[in-house]
Amino acid sequence: MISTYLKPDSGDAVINGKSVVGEPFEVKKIIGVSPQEVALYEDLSAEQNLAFFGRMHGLSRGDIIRRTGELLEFTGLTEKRKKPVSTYSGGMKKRLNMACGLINNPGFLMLDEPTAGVDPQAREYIYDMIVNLKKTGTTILYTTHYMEEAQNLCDRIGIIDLGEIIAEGTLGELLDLVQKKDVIELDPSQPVEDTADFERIDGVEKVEQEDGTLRITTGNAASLLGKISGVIRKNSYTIKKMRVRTPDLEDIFISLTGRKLRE
Amino acid sequence: MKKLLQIAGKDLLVNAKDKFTYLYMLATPIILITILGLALGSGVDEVTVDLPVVVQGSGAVSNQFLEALESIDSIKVEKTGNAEDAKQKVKDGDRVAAVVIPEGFSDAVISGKEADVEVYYENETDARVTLIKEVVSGICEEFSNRGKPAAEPLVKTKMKKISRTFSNNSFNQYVGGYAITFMLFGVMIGILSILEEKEKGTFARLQTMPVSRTALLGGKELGNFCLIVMQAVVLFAFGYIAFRIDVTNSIPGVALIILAVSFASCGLGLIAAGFIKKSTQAPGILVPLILGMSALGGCWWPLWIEPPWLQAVAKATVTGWGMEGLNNILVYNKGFNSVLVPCLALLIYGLICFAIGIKVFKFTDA
Repeated sequence: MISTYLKPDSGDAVINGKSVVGEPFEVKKIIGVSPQEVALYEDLSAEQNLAFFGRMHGLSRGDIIRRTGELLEFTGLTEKRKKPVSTYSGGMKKRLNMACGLINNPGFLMLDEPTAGVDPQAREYIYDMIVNLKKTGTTILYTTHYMEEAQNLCDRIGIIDLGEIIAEGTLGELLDLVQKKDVIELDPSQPVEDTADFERIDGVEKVEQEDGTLRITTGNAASLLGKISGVIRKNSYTIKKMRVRTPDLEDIFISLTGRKLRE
Repeated sequence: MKKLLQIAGKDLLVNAKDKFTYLYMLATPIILITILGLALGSGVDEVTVDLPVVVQGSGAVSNQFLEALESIDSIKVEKTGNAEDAKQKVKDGDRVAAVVIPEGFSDAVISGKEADVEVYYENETDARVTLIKEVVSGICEEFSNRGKPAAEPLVKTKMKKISRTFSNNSFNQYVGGYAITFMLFGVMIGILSILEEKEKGTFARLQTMPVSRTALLGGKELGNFCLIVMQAVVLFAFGYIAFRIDVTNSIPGVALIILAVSFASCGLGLIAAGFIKKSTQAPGILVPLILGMSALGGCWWPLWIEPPWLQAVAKATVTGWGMEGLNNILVYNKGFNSVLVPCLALLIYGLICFAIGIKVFKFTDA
């Protein structure tokens, strides 16, 4: 709906002062859209695809030549610019897909799962492209199922569950929202019979032992590590492994949406 | 308008890069035209020929001759009062021949004098003309033997050729017919192009750009229109160079028919694109429709060998009107004016189809 492809049943979105409902044609001029599925003409080359979409945006011949050159450089496709898209790898197609969304130099870019189905190297390249785009001041609406991407790339995050935004804010704001705590996990060689010494440490909120793993929940793991080491030494526990888990977007997401499978 | 042209141009470029397009749109019909044209020639079997018969004057023998003609299964006699009208029908190509039983025929036969039955025809190589000539000659012989035996038959068939020539080149029928059939297959490529753009997401992507729906759909249709016009031009050029088909009777007429058929076919294609959901469904639905319309419209054989009711149904098809226009020029050697009615019919047909097509076409899947 924000891309103006569908008309909303109700409500509106305003981009740079232009209403998606009231001035869709004006909105189309200032946005860029890179759909999830690669939406390109496979028989045409990268250059021809970019030129065609440029013409659809009403760019002049000179602007198309300049912009095509810039975007081929930006996406690392200059060498392959004359090859048909059908000969490209999945990652190359994704990069070109994004480039076509940028042909009109939009102030607002919608990226729908740009890294879905691409190899790690191509994904890293796309991440770099996005970071560079951010630096140019382009506002990016990034849709992803990978929480790590959202956490690393986005300034503000909205969580959508069953078609509705259930939370929105910076990562810090979302953490506050779900009140997620750090967890220190210890794997002792023998089960700890009495956890009272751990529970008595100032700042420890909860101690649980399950499947041989001792989980200590706290507001700030880093400040307690020394005291926990002291308890381990005092009781001569042998610890095989120790982990500190700080809450991430995935924890927030699960916490907000639950673990039930979504269809 | 500029974007509409650009979309059309892009479609032509995409098609130009697909080798199968050439194979599908040009090589296949050329091979079929050649094989079927050579195989079928201009042979005609088991047909009923409409024959205008003019009985000038009165008399029992004249009426008996008429009855004898009517008794022939393969001839459907059309009793006509005016000889000039009958001859004009032959001249216009509406009938292959006409028979005139002249005034005084009865008296001449009864009194044992020589009498002629006139057969007007255009093309002596047409099997139907041969059939009529044989039938009339047979009856004349029978009537000759009624009187006293004579060294020479008294009743003779007088064959009179009408000046305008009738083309006996079977490729006139086959090139025109197969060109129209494969123009419809060209329309199928256009429908597939729309469905595939929808499936691949480029159609949706274009709708997020400052492109009006008129330009988007108009561009697709214009691209397809240009593609099938070019296809037809190549096929007719091939027909002229390889088989000397009679396009020179009226090149503007043939061109107008090509444009009209292309326009109406694209309209028909737009309706199909509105109803067909997936590209994989298209060939299964469209191929039988195209083949059916081609057969019905007289693309593969002369329309007159079909039953009258089917000939009437053919008027509801693009192929029927297209073939009528093409046959007027290529087969019946008529001029430019002869295509105006078929072209007008195709124009109206196309406009109706486009109106329905725009109504049923879905820009979004939601």
